[in-house]
Amino acid sequence: MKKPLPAIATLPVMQFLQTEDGQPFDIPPSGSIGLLALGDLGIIAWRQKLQQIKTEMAERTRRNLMMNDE
Amino acid sequence: MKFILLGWDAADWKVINPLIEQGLMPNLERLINQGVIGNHATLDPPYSPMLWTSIATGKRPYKHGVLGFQEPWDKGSGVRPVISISRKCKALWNILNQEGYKSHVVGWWPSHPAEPINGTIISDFFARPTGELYEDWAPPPGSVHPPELEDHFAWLRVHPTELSSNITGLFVPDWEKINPAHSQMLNAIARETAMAASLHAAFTNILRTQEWNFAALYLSTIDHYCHGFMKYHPPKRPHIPQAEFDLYKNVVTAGYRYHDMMLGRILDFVDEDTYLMLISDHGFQPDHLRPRDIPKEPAGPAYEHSPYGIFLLKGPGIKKDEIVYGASLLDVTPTILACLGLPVGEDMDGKVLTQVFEDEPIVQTIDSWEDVPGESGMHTTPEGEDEDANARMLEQLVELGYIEKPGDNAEENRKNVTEECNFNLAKAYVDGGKLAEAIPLLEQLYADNPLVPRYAFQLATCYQATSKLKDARRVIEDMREKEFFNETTLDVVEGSLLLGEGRAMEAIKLFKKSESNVNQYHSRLHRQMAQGYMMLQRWEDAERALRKDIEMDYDHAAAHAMLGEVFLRDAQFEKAVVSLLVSIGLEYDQPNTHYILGLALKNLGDYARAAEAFEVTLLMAPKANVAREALIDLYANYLDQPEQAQRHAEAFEQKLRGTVYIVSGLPRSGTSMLMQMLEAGGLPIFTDRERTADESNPKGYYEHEAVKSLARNKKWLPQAEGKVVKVIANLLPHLPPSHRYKVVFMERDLHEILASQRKMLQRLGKRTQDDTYPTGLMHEYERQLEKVKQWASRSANVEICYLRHADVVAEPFLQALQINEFLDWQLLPELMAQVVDAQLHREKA
Repeated sequence: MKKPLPAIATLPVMQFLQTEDGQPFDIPPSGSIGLLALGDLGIIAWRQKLQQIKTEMAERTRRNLMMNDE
Repeated sequence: MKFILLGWDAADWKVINPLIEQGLMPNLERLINQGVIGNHATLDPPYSPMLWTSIATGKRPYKHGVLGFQEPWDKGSGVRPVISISRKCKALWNILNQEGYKSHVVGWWPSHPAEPINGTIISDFFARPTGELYEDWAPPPGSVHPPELEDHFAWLRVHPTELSSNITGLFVPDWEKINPAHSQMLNAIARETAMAASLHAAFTNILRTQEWNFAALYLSTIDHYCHGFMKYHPPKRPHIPQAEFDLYKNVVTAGYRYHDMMLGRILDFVDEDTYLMLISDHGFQPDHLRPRDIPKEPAGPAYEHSPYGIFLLKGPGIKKDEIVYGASLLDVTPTILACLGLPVGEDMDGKVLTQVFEDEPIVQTIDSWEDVPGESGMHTTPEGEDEDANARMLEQLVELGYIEKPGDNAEENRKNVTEECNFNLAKAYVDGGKLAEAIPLLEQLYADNPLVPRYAFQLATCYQATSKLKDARRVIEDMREKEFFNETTLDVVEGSLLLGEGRAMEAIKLFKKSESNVNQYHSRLHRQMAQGYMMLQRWEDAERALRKDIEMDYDHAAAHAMLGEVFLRDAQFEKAVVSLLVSIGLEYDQPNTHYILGLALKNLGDYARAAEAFEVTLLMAPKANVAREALIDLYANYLDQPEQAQRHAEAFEQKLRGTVYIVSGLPRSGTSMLMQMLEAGGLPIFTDRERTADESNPKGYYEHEAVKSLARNKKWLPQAEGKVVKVIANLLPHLPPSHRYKVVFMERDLHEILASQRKMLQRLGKRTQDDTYPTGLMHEYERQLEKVKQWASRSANVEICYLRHADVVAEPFLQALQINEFLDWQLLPELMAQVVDAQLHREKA
C-alpha cells in the first residue's frame, strides 16, 4: 500500500517564494539548480508544481473523455 | 549563541579564488570579507572518513579509531564501511549533547546508524540513491534520528532520475553530444547533485523549523565532482582529448557555483550572533600538479588531493577580513568549543585557534571529555548490522575507486581490510610523530607481505627517521633482491638513507641515476639532491638542483626555502632574502623559513626586520628556542631593548623540555669510563650497544649510532631525556636549545690523547705515521676545546662540569662526589668509584 504523504508535502510554500520585486515565483516543472539550492522550500515547491501539473493533466484527460462520451 | 559548521569535502582555495575573481561565487566572497580565512593542514593518510572524524573529535585516528573507508566485519562479505560505532570517542555533538545544547548533524562521514542525540542526525547513508526511480527508494533503516521523522526527511530527498537536462545541462552544456556508451559520466553528475540536494534540503528544513544551537552539514559532492572531472578543468593538458575537454571542462566550476548557491540559502539563517565555519578536509590539485595517472593501490585516488583544505570562520568576536595561519583540521573542534565557552579536552590533539578572536579568549581545559558522565547520545548497543545498506555504501566506494570490490571469500576480505586498517594506523602514528608505535605494525605488515612495496618503503623510512639505519638498509637491500620493486622509488629511498648516513656523494650518485625517471611521486628528489650538495658545501650544485625543482613547479615553497638556505650558507645574503620571501609568499606558515630569513637579515645588518622574522617564527612555533636565543642576542646587543631580551630570556627557560645528561670529551679522553661510572651510579644510559667492547675499550663504548649524526638529525633527543648520552666534543655545539643539558666534560692531556689514539689505530691494524708527531691535529683539538667552552658559556640551557682524566683515575671517589653534586645528588658515588680501573690508564704524559 502506498504511504500517505507527510505533512510537509502540503506546506503552502509560495508565501516564501517570491521574486525580488515581490512577484510570485514561476516554478519550472523540470526543476532548476536554483530550486535545489533553495533547500527544502525549493524541493517542496517543485514537487507541488509537478503534482499540480499531474492533477491538471488528469482533469484535462477526464474532461476530454467526457467530451468524447457526449 | 549558535554555530553552523559546513564541510565541503576537497574544497580548495586554488579553485575558489579564480571563481571569486570572476564573480561566480558571490556568497562566499561576501563571507570572506566578514571573517577570517586560511588554509588548514590535512593529516596523513588523507582519507575522508578518517579526516572528518578527526575534525569532529579534535583527535588523531589512533585515538578516534576510524582507520579507513572500511573495516573488518564478522558478517556478510567480511567487511563493512566505517560507521558511527567505529568511532571510539565522543564527537563534538556528543559533547554538546551532554552540555544541554541542541545539535543537528546532516550527512557527516561516518554517522550511520544515526546516534540518538537531543536533536537530529541524518546519516551519511540517507541520501545514497537506490532503485531506478524515486518511488522505489526506501531510506536505509537507522539513517534518521529521531526515527519518527524518517518519512518527513525521506520525502525531501531528490533521486538522480528526477533531474532533467535543465540541471545537468549546467554542468555539461553539450550533453546531447555524449556518446551513449559514456552516459555514466552524466549519471554520476546527476547522482552527486541529487545527493547534495537531498542533504541540503534536510539541513535547511531543520534550520527553518527546529530549535538549534549547533548544526553541521557535510557534503562530499565537490570531492566527487573533482575525482570525476578535475582532469578536464581548464587549463587543458596535452594528453586530454579535445572533445572530452570541451564536453566536461565546466563540471568542476558548475559544482562550486552550485555550492555557492546553497551557501547563499544557509546564510539566510546566520545572524550576528551566529558563528559560521566552512571547512574542507584537504584540497584537490587543480593545476599542473594534477597527476596524470593514479597509482593502482587502495585509496589511490587520494593522490589527487592536495595537503591544504580551506578554513573560514565568521561570528561574534571573530576578526574580520584577515588571514589565519597555522591551522590544522584538528583545531576545528577545540575552536568550536572555545567559541561556545566550553572547555577543551587535554587529550585532544588540536588547539584553539586563539588568533582568530578579536580578544584572545582564556582557553579552559579539562583532562578529557571521555570521562565526563552524562547522556552523550553515543550508541550503547551494537548497531550497523544492516547488510543491504552496508553493501550499497561499499558499492559506491568501489565506484569512486576508493576501495577494491570485495571478493567472494569473506575471510580473505577481512584479512585484506585488517591489513589496510593497520597500515593506515601506522601512517597516522607516523603523522603524529609516534614512530615507535608505527614500527611494530609496519614490521608485521612487511613480514606478512614481503612483496608489497608501500609497506617496505614506509618501514624503511620509519627506521631511517628513528636512526635505525642498519635496519633501514636491511629492508632496502631486501627490496633490491626482489627485483620487481620500482627501481626509481627504491633509489630515492636509498638515497635518502645515504644522506642520513652522511654518505652524500653516494646519495647524489643514486639521485642522478634516477633523475631522468622522476615524476611527481618523487617530487623530493631534486631537493634531496640539493641537500646532499649542501652537506658537501657545493653551493652552486645545490642551487642548480633546486632550480630544476622550481622549474617543475614554481609554486614549490619548500624549494625556494631551501634555495634561500643555500644562499645564506654561501654568504649571499641578499639573494637569500629574495628566495626566502618568495617561499613565504607562496606559503606563509613555515616557521623554519622565517627563522632562516631572520638569520639572513641579521647578516645584512637589518636587525629590526630580523627580529620581526624571529618573532613570527615564535608565533608559529612557540617552542622554537633557537629563535628565542637569536632574539635575546638581537635585543640585548643590537637593538638596545634589554626589557625585550629579558622577556625572551624568561620564556626561554620556560620552554625548555626535559634534561639530557651528556658525557663529552675528545676521542680517547676517558668518556667511556665516565659513562660506566654514571651507569653504576644509577643514571639510565642512552646507548644502542651497537659498538661492542674491544681491547681499546674493554668495558664497551656506551655510544648510540643516532648521536653521530647529531648535526643532521636531532629527532632522538626526546628519547634521551633523563638519560646520559655520550656526545663527542666537536658535536656539542649542534645540540639544539630545546632541552636543558648538564654536561660532564672529561679533559685529558692532549699528548696522552694522541698517544692513546695512535695505539688504538695500531690495534685496529690501521696505518699510523709513527715518525711524525701530529701537531696539526693537536692544534685542531685545542681549537675544538675552545669552541666547546665558548658554546657552554654563552648557552643559557647548558651547565658544564669539567673533570680531569688523571684526577678521576687517581681519586675516583672524590671525583664521583663532585659529579654527584653537579647532577643534583641523585647518584651512588661509592658504586661509581668502584668501576674506575687504574690499570686502563695506559698512556701517561
